[in-house]
Amino acid sequence: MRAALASATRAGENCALIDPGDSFDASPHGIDLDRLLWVRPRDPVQALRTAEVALEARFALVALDLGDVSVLPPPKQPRGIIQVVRFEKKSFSPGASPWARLARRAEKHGGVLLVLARAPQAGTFAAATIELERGRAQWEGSPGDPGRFLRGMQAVGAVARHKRMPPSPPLPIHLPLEPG
Amino acid sequence: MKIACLWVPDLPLVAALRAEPQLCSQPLAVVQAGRDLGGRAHVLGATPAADGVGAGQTLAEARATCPRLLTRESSPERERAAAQAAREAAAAVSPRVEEAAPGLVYLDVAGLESLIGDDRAVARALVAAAEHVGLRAAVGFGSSKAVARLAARAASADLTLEETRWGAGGGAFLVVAAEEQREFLAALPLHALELPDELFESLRRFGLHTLGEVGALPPGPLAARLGPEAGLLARLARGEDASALVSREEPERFEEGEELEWDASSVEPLLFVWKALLDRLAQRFSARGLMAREMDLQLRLADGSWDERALDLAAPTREAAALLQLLRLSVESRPPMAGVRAVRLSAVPTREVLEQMPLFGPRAASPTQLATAVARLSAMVGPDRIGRPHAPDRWAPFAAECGKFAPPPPPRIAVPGEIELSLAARALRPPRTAEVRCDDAGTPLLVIGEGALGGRVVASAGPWRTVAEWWTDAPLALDAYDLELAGGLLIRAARELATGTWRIEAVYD
Repeated sequence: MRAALASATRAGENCALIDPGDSFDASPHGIDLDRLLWVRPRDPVQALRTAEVALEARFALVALDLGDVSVLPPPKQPRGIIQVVRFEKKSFSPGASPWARLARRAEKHGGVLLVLARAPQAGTFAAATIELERGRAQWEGSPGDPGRFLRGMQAVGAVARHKRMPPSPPLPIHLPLEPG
Repeated sequence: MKIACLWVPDLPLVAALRAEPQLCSQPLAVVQAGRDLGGRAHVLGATPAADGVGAGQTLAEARATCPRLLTRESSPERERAAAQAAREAAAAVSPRVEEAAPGLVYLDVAGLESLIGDDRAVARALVAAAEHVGLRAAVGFGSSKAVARLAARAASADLTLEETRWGAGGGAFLVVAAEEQREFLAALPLHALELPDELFESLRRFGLHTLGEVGALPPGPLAARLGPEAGLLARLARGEDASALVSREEPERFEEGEELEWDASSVEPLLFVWKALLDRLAQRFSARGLMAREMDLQLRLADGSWDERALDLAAPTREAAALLQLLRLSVESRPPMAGVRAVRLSAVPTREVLEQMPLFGPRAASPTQLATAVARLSAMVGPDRIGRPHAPDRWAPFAAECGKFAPPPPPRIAVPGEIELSLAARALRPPRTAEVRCDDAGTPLLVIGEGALGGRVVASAGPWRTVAEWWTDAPLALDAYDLELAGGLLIRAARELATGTWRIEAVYD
């Protein structure tokens, strides 16, 4: 999510981060913070409504972070889900789930809604679903060494679902820790 | 020199109709607040529908004359706002404006031909500008302030009273060209000049009934006989007016106010009043291409004190709905100490930012649309929970605050950035307390936290000591660790040196 925000803001796009968990780390690390609107709604329902308002305001990328640690899955399955809700022409029934409305807003105003969650949320309204699974951490130095530090983490990502292409095989991803 | 005079006669009546335009066609009288020594209330102004009712009558006489009469007490807050609106209406036409009295404004209109048109077009624009802020005005043009004032007074005879969506309409104007000035002044009857009673009676006894007749007399002996005012009158009759227009700067604040008929002890009646005030403010802003950059709310309480508070606007806006929500949040979070008797809204204006939208590429929101959206979001989540994120200048780990969101204009050529993936920290605000079991060397072995934030420690790094802000009431002294728990969860934990308690500050996600 941070990578997507960094790429979009550096390209000159205004982005919004809907953060009901109030968990955004405000150090820049590649994100042009001048172009980022940080919104901290008080609950998930308000988060969906604020995402809708942000899409109507033509923010190019609206990132909705629903990955609250309070709903972390059991330790055996540390994972994350990224879903991209884009402008796909589809006929929606009125009064459908909020994701239908958000997808319509994204289509109408030419924006992208990026949803980060612990489990799939948008269902068939998502244009793409990317699954991420956490791997082992990578450490520098021997255990007990004073200079030991966390270097990063291995992860595995896969396009689990896409409206225009078949799912992809798992791809290894190396995530170095951002320097503090 | 060309001077225009914008005059709002019956200001208390027009101020009341600005708030309740639907009463324009009703028999309405505006009554002075309070009573005179005889315990009587006097009428300050009445609508044409109140047949036979006029200024100066007592309320009892007025009711006897018009049994269906509706009354409203005069409101200093409304009249203040109406006077300011008159000034703004004049400033919308000319930048050189002088407010001589509430509802009486002079403007320098020289040089407006290329912008608006001839004198009649400028006068029409001035009447329309006044109507746009809810005022029925009489406009006069002349070569001096005095002539313009007299022309406005003469035009007031053609005023009607019409309901508009902003307030009262039906203004009129009179343009006195330079070559017509002498004839115009000569024909003016003395009773239309608001002369002191004594001077008027003296002139009448001398058989003088028009300004022209006074002007035919030598001013010196006239002044010697009747006082300096008579001399000035004679000079006026010849179109001589030495007073210059002294333009003043625009007010820094736009204000609207209202007195309540009874003390409001809950939010609901205040919402109704605020909505009306915000609509009028929005209309005034819109007419001038302005937005509210800051807004203050002042509440006069039942005990006579004032409750003053500032609204935190995330972005300039003039959207009444968002501002109403912010007002509501402010009062609900900190209710006033007593019932509210009067309300005043005061806004600092800023120019509306207009930007050329690009011909190519995706269409972004205009600055106004963006500011409006931010104001709406601010009203939804609270002004302190939205804005540009930034790390404050502190040593506290993962601290973050919201600042003003004011993005720079988009670049001319958008260059797609490269995507660099990295491991980011998900801050826990507030940090979660945890129990951590350590070995003899102090290395964490087991984390017992809430929910999934716990487990056996399979790898760790640290401690990294931070001691800071010892000069404050909340000094910072902690040892931080990066811990990998069984199951793969990576956390940043910290132990406070003073108390030995542990807390989990972030999750690497």
